[in-house]
Amino acid sequence: MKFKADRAILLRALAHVQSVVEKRNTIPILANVMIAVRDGRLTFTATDMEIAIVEDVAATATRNGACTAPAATLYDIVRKLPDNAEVELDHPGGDAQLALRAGRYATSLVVLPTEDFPSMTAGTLPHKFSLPAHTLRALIDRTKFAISTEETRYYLNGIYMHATESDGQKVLRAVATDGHRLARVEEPLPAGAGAMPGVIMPRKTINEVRKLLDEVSEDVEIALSDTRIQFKAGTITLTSKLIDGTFPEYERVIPHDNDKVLRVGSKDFADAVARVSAISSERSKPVKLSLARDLLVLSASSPEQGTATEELDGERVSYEAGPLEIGFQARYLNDITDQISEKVEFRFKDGSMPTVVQDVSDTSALYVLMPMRV
Amino acid sequence: MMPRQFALPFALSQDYAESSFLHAPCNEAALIWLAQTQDWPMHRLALWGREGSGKSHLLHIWANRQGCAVLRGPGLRFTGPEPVAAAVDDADYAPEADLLHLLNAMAELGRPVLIAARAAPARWPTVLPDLASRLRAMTTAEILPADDDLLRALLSRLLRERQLRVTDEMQSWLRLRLPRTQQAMYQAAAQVDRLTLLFGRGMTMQVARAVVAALQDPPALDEDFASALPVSVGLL
Amino acid sequence: MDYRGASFVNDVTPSSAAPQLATIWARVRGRLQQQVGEVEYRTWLRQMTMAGISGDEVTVLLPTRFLRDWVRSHYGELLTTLWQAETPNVRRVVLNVGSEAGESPANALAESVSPAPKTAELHYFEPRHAEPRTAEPRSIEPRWADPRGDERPADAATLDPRFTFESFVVGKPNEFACACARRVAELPASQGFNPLFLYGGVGLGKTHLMHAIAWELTDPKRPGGPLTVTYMSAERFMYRFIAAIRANATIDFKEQLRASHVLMIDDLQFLVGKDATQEEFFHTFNALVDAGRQIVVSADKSPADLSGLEERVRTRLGCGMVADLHATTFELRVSILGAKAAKAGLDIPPKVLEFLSHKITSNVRELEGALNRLIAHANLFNRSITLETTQEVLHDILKAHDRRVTIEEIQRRVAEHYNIRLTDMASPRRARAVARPRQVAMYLAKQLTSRSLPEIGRKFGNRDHTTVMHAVSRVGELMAVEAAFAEDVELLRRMLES
Repeated sequence: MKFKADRAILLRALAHVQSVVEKRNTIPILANVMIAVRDGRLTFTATDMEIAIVEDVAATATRNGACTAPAATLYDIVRKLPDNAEVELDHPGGDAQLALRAGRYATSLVVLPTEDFPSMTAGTLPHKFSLPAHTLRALIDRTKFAISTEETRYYLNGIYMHATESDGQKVLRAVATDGHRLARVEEPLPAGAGAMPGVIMPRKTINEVRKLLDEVSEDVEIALSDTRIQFKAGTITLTSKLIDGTFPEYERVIPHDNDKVLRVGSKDFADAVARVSAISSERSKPVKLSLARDLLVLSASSPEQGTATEELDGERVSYEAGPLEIGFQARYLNDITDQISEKVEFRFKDGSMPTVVQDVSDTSALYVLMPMRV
Repeated sequence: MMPRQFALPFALSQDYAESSFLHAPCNEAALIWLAQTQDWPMHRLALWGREGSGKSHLLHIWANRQGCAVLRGPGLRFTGPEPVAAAVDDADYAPEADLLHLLNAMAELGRPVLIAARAAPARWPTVLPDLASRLRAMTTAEILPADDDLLRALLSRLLRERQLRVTDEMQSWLRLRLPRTQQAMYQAAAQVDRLTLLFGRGMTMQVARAVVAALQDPPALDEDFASALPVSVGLL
Repeated sequence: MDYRGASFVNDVTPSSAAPQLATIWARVRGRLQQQVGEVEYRTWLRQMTMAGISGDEVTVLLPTRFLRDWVRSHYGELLTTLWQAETPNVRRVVLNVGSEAGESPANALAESVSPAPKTAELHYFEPRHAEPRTAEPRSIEPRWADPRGDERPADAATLDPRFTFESFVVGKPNEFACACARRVAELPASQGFNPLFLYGGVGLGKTHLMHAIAWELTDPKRPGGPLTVTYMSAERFMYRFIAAIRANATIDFKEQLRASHVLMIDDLQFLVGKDATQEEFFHTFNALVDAGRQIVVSADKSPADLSGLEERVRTRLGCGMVADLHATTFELRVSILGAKAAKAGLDIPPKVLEFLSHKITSNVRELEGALNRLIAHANLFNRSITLETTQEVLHDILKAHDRRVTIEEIQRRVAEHYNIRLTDMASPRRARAVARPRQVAMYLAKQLTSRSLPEIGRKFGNRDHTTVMHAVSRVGELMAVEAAFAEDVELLRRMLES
């Protein structure tokens, strides 16, 4: 195998693949990237057994062949090469080392046999559709924060994506929850997704896809089965296993009869929460919301450090229902208001029941937040 | 200290699938009886065993095979014989006259009746003599107390059903400290579910200790409820 | 070649490798069963099906995620090893969730546990109803209003074939009632025997005699031809009457009743307090008697004692023949059981029949019920009927309750047995003379109660649960090597359990 490529092109591709390889992996070959030249086409492949990424790289290939080399090392080397360098990689085959040359710099790396490199088969992926990159980005960004990081509940360690109907419209929904809050975002259903099964995409996959989305502007092709999902964006194909679990019946925890409605500017609210909660020494930073007609008082206290309050009056809030006191973790409030640009609407029931939060001007996203005792 | 954060009220649906039932020496005889409906004397059988021993699960499996619904003893109302077969859970809580009429009506048509309760029907405090004598004449299948292997499998199954990932080590840590009954396994799985969601930090020792603390041996366990009931048995 | 799916099972081409694959799979299962034992196999592995083999990979299916995970972590390696022993080129056994296509779960309930069903399955059941059912709340509308109904003509079809005069065992307590019943069966509506009122406690044979009369009268070979008999329980009379009222079909109901030659109402006491139904019964009764038809009625008390029944009904009921069935005697009970055993073609030890006749004195139903249970149990589990199995099978009716042993009781018994002080059970003393009995008591507490190990430890002087575990395994080890010690412990266990 032998080829030459621009440093910038190589670096970009290596950045993608080295992000997928498992850094702490005890199986050495999983730390490697497979570099292959077939019929003049160069591909990089990396996998952690859950996710596999394959990237086509523009290069001048002069000899077919393949080898696997440590992804992180290779990335580090290429990163430190001068900007406009042309890099040559040469692997004569077998156990021989991989030679890398750029200008006057040369190194050789120990390789592992390609036969040991695990191949991840996608199987047949019967459901295929495509989404504009910004749409997929929106689905991910507005739900990702609610993904559970608690390993016990593995079925919540991802975003649930399924096709359904919402107010008579066919939609593609992304849902995430950690048991304390829930985010539900929907977009019009793309063609081809109507019969797709509900799937849970793992958190790591979401993160990898999200990183790639920063670099693409065209449509992302998605194909999936019960057990696998594949994203194709430009020259990159990312295939991932799905979480083998059943997502909870989330619709049942979304209240429909919350009638105490608060509207407030998202930024006003977020800033007030940040200022008030700063005093709290607890990890959860509880903030109490005390509501009366057109008045919101936020408060927090800590036995060691005292108390803090902030009032938002009728100029900045609207609230017409009866008095209410309810507490939330500051972080949970901020995670949601971060997703809302202008005005946020809270719909409360009481101090212990689920609260619904939405963007006043955009109802495609809905958040449910559980309060805490204050 | 219990966390102050409330958790979303996700519901759990009971899994009464046949493939989920755990076969074990303690329920082997009951399984054989259930598979041989045509051999039941008078087409009747009573399943009995302690709480959590799998009676409801077996009742649902059997009812599903017969193509009948599972009726609940409390609030049972006789309105005529059931079409194919009758399965009554917690039959000891059924109004006596309604249960009697159901038994009679089904017997007239030769349709099978399966009832389940925590005590053998002969030991229920039945008042109606007609019902009492039918209950005492009834064939029974007892589910015996579970052995350690079944408890281990059951806890594991219940956690799996709730999709909770708990290591084998943690499961045995719990089992070594819990009452050795199926009911305790059910309660433990429910507590693990509830507490991990509330604390939000996985299956920690803090959660494990709280589960065990919540499931101390009930003080009245030695007093088997069956022995505390007035017994009307037609013996010398 | 691709064996995916269940197709290989149906592939009968002898030259094909498929049957061979099925054979290998059967062998793997057999070896597995041998290695893990019957119980474990049944619990975990019986629901495995093979999906197929592809290259070096065998795919095995389990019906639930839980089973798949369990089998994967506990038996995955063993499965691979066993496959490799049969087919060396298999490298991996993949476990997935699913079930073999087209597989019918019939009889999986006790698959591999139970003997094959002895009779055709469900042969006497009526076709299933496809009607969607809801478990609760129950409809309070009587189902009789439904034209589909369960109603069968109230004729001999509902008669119990076991209830004939031939099978009725006669003894002192029931000979008069039986003679009256025979008389009615021979000469219905004869003077002095209409109505025939049979009464007695539950389960003494009233229903049996009524069915026996009906059998005789509806016999196609009866001299003078068979008669139309309407037999129903009072409760059925009641709900059919109510249903008729609701369906505006009372006229049909009346006509149907009045068209029969003989009307039999069982368990009349259930009409007590049901005024409208009583009224209807009274009119039907009169109409039939006036038309020279036979009435047979049973109840748990004599007409005079049936309080809650209208005076005029009581009078009419008592104006024919009133015959009672007395409680059984020991002799009658033994002959009832003997006759029943003979009919079933079973040789049951007289000891067992006498034991049952001695223990179950309340009524014939319970007596026969006990015998039925014994016979069914013996058939199903292929065991002979002995005094021992009788006591075991019928323990729920022979004993008022199963004693649940307490830790305190175990401690007391064990202390007595080894002649140490009860306080030594909880004392910190470690001398072997007290430590060993204490360990035995802990062992028995683990075996005979469902208390948690920490709780057992607490009862033994606040010891740790690991001490209990140690005691349990120590006693187990000792029992395995010292026969005398094992006997001792077994003896204690039996004493505590009895």
